[in-house]
Amino acid sequence: MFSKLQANIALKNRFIDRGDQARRFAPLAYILSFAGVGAMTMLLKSWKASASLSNVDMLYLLVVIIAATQFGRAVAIFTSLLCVLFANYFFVPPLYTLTVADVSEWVALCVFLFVAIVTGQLTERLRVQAQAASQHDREMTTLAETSWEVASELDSKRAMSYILRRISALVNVTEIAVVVVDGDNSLQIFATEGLSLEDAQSLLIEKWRDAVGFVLSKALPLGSKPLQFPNAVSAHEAYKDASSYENLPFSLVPIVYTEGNVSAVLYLKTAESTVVNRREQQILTALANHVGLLLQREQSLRAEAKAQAVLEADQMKTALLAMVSHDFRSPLTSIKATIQTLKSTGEALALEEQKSLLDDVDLEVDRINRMVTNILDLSRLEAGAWRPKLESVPISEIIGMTLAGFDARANARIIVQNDARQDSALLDSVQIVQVLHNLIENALKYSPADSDVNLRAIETDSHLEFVIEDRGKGLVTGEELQIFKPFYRGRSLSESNVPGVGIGLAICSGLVAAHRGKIEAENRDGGGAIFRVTLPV
Amino acid sequence: MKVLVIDDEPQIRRALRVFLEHNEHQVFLASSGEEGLDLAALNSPDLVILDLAMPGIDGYEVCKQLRTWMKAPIIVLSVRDREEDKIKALDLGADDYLTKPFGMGELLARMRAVHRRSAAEDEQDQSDFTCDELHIDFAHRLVSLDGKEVHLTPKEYDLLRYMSMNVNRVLTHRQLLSKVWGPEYADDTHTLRVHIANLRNKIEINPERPKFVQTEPRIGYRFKTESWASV
Repeated sequence: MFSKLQANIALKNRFIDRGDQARRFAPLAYILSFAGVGAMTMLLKSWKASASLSNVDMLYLLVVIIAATQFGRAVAIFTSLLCVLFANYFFVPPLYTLTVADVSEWVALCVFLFVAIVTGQLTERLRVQAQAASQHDREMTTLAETSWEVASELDSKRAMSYILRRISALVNVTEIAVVVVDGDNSLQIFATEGLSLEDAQSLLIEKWRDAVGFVLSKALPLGSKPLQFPNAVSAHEAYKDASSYENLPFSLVPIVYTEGNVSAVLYLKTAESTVVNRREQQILTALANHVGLLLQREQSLRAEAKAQAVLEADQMKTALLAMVSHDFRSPLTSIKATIQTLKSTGEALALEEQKSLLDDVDLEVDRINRMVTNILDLSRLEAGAWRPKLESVPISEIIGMTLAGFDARANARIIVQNDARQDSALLDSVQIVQVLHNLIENALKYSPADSDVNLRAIETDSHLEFVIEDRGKGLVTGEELQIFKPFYRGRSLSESNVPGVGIGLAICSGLVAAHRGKIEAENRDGGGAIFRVTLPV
Repeated sequence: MKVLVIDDEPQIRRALRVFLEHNEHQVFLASSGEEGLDLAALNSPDLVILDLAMPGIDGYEVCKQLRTWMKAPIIVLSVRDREEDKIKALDLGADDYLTKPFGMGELLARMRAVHRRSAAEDEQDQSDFTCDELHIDFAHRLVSLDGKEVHLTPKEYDLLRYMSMNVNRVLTHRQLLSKVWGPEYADDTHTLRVHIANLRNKIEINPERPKFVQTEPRIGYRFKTESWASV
């Protein structure tokens, strides 16, 4: 991270124009331009075309222009004067003297001087403008890229780190950090560059807590000497007795992002003797605002997630109520009808008929009981109360318990293949048996009465797998994941009338998840569905 | 036999009374724990059916108190998913349990099972046991399936013997472990499970679908010799 900062600083330094460098070596510039003029003179002397003074002037002008672009204004003027002198001495009659015979020659020389000086100045200004333009261009690119980065990068931390690096590249900063105010009004370090989280913590939240608090409450920056901000408040004005805030070794910039309230602070520590010009301050402010935007977006995302969770819980409740109301009414209605029938016509009916009516009631009661069980399971699922009671259980026992939950007729259709015969697994037997029971029950229900359902147990080094296969209608492609959601009912109409269908698989999914396993469904070659429960062991 | 029913719900009391009297039992009804204790002391029932979830003095307390002086078997009524309750009751001295809603056939079968056991306790010397293809000769420690001898390890045999002396009754993990291995092994459920699995492999025609050794999830095992059909 640090090397990146240094690389950025080096990059910036390369943009310092060579003119500045040369200015530092001023004597060299003058010597060079003298040499240039001399060289040009010799060139002109050897070239016969120098008879025409206008040629001479043009070529000397060239030297002036070069001197202007390379060495700046002062040297350009010097070069101009030098050119005039040389022109006078070497090319204006009488030759090799500084006297000028003709008045028109004087005029020509003066004009030349004027032109040379002006050209020099213009060239210099052009150079400065070009430099400013390229600087401006760089800044715009920075801002544009930052905006794009903030907009496109979903990971706030990454986007934040990007912005901070940009800031440090722009303003020669060695350390940056963002301090945010948490929901419960506590300070928290959100991101750092150039210093560790722990250091930022001890510096800003422990040592300089008051300074941060000041910036937050007054929305004014506190600036250290190298980095002076507009509107920066010196310690004296803000705090009557806060001599501790004088000579602050760093700067704190308020970040506004919620309706004018300052909820974050940007901490900057610059390298020694860095001066931030106005333009850079503006860019800095713009970037700080990006930081604010990021923080705001982060907040919104969190609120949205919470709202979503509440919405889902609400939807669940509604669906549950609808289901209860619908699925309970039918059996209750038929029970009531049957009982009333028996009460009113009971004695007149044959014993056989009475008995069969009562059998119906008995079945309906069982049905209601199953639904109550399912609902209880589902609500416990939603409350996250499925903590498995892990025990080492032989797999054969799991299978045995599962099969025991089906009557003889159903059992005749279940074909078992236990490839993990001798082994035990650490799991909650009751819960896993329920998963298998639900899956097999579905398989039996939705496949032809003469078809078989396969139950296989396979063990690998890391997993225990149960596979349930049937020859039913299979799954609707694309819904392999949907079916495990609560209240999902199959597309086919016949399924939606079967009570409890919407919950069984959801319960399986929840129980398997509580065991940190996974459950998958897919279609089977030749028709039907395959359900796979994988548990870590 | 004389049956005492302790349940706070009138419908259950009524239904049980009608059913049990129809099956030629003498029935006493109590609507609370206190009443139940009084009636038990007064009438010395042969069997007690006790609801665990009652207001006032709860089922466990009743069970505990009954066990201080009463030897008759107790069947507790409980709801699904409250295995801890059932285990607690069984440890406090109950003999079996029924999960509400229960079928009457199941009730009768369990009543028979627990009653048989208490009657048999007086005759300790049962020389053998037979059920369908399974035959155990206690005198010679021989186990056979359809006449063919089955070789069991000593612990497997002890397990089978204990279960066969308590047919159709639920036996908790703790009870099985304490009896066969000793009280200090009462929590070693895994060992028990492994032995049960091995036993099943040896004496069950289809170990995957055991006929005799039934699992009572989270509670223990039951050696079943009859299936309770619906009434």
